[in-house]
Amino acid sequence: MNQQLTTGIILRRTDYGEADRIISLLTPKHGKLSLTAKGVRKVKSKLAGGIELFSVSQISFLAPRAGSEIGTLISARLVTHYHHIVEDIDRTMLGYDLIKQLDKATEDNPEPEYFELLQQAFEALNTREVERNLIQIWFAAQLLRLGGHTPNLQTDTAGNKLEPDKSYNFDFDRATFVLHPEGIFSSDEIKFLRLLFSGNNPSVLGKVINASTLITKIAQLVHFMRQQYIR
Amino acid sequence: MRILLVEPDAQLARTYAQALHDSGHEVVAAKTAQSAIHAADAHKPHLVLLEMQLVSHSGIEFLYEFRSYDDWQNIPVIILSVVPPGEFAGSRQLLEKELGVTGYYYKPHTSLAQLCQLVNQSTVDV
Amino acid sequence: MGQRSRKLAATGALPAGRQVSEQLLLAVSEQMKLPFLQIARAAEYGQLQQSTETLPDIQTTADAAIRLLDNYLFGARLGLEEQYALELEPVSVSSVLYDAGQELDQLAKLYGVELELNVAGKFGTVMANRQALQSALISLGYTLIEALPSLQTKDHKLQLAAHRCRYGIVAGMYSSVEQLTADALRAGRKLHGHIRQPLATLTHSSGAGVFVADTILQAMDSELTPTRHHRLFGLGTVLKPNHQIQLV
Repeated sequence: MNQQLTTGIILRRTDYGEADRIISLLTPKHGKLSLTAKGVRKVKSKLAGGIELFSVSQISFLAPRAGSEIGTLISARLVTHYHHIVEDIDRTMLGYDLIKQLDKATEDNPEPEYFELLQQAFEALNTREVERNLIQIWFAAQLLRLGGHTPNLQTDTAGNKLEPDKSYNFDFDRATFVLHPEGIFSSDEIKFLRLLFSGNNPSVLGKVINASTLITKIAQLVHFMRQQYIR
Repeated sequence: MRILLVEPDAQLARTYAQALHDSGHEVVAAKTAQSAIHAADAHKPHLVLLEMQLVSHSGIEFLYEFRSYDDWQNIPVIILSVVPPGEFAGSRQLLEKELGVTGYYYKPHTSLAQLCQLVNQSTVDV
Repeated sequence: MGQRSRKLAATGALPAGRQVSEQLLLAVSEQMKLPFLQIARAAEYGQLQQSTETLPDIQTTADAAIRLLDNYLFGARLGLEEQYALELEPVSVSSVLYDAGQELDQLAKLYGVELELNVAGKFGTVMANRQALQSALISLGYTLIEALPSLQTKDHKLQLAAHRCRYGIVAGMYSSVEQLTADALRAGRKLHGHIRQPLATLTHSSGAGVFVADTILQAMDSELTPTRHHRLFGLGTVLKPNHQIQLV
C-alpha cells in the first residue's frame, strides 16, 4: 500500500457522492492535495475534530491512482487548532478570505513557502493582539513577494537611491517610487514597506512605532498591487 | 415553513420563536453553531435565521460548514445579528455570493413584525 | 478613543484607572444592548398579543440591567479615585453568597438556570467590604446566568459556594462545565472594550459582568480567578480570613 504521511492545512471541504467528502489540503511537500474522506457524512459534521479549518493536521493518505487527481484520506490527527480565530467573527471572516486568496494565487502547484505563509497567517490571526489590518496587508505583501512581484524599494524611477529626506509617489506600472516634491510617501513608509516585504512576522511588524498610521498610508498601495499582479 | 433559528440568548430565542410560531411557522431553535448543524440535519429547515455572534464557533463558521453540504445549498440564510451591518461592509460579497446570505438585518432595528414580514416573503424550493 | 488614552497613559498624562474605566465602559455599553433588545422585543410581543404576560420578564430584565449598571458605576468610581480605599470589615462569606443568590434568583429563573447555595462548613469571617463583595458576585452571576444555557452542559445549575484554600477562603460560582481557563480570562482582561467577544468560549455577549466584578475586586486587592469546587468548575475570588481577636 502506497500510504504516505504529511502535515497539511485544510483549505476546503465539499460533498462528494452519497456519503463522502472531498478535502482540499495545502501541504509543504506535496503542494495541493485533494483527498476523499470516505463515509464521514454519516454523522453530519463536526465543527471540532481532526478535519477542520484553521488547523494544521497530520494526514495519512493513499496517493491518487493513475488517471485520477484525487487520493484517499486514511486518517487525520489534529496537531494545532487555531481556535481563537473561530471565536471572533472578524478574524474568522479574514481567515476565510486569506484561504481563498491563497487558493486562487496557487492554482498551479505551490512551493513549500505557501504552506509556511498560511501557517504564519493563522498564528497571527490566532493571536488577538495582532491587528487584523496588519495581517491583511502583510499577507498581501507575502503573496506578492512569493509571486515575484516585490516592488523596487531601493531606487527610484531615475535609478537613484531612495533618500530619507525626500518624498515620493508610487508608479504602479513600474512598481517603483518616483521622486515628487509633494509625494505622499516618505522614508517612514518606505522603511515599513521594506520590513513588510522582507518576510517578517506580523507580530514583529506590529511593534514598529506608529505601525497603525503607517499601515493606513501604505494599505492602498499594497492591496492595489495584489489586485494587479495576483489572480 | 420550518425555520432554523440560531440564537444564543435564551430570552431572545423564546420571544423570536413565539412570534414566528404565531405567524404560522414551525421553529427549531439552536444556541450554538454545532447544535445548529445537527438541527439542520435532523429537521431539514426551509430557512435559517442566523445570529453571527455565537459562543466558541462564530456564525461565519456555521455558514461555511452549512454551505459545504450539497443538500443545503439552496436553503436561504438571513442574518439577524447584534453586529451592525456596517461592520461587515467589506465582506458583503463574501456573505452574499459565496455563502448565499439573502439578507442582513440588525437586531436592534428589526422589530418582530418586520421579522415576520421578511420571513413570510422568503421562499425556498423544498 | 481607547488608543488615545493608551498613549496618554504611556506618557503618564492619564492615570491608569481612567484607562481601565474606558475599556470597561465600552464593554458595559456593548453588554447593555442585550437587555434593551430583550425588553423591546418582549414589549412588542406583549402588544402584538395584547397581553401582559411578558411584563414580569421585562421587569426582571430591567432590574438586572440596572443592577449591573450600578455595579459598573461603583467599580468605575473605585478605579478612578486613586486615593479611595475601601473600608474592610469582618464579613460572613456565607451571608454574602446567600444575599447575592437572592438578588440573582429572578434572573436565573428567567434563563432557566437553577441556583444552588453551598456553604457547608464553618468559615468564620473574612476581611472584605461587604457591599463590594456582593456587587462583584452579583455582576459575575449576571454573566454566568446568561451564558450557562448556551454552553454544552446537560444541566443548567449554578452553585454559589465557599471553600478553604491555602491562601484563604474562596467565594465563587460553579457549574458542571468549565467556564474560563486562566489564559482565556487573562486575554479577556486585555481585550475587553477592544473586541466584541473577549470571552468567546463563555458567552456570546461582551461578558461585561466578569470585568465589572474584576474591577470591584481589584479595589480589595483581589481578582477573579478560575477555580474548582469539588467536581465543579467556576470563577471565584480568594478572601483573607479575619484574624482579629474577638473579645467576648
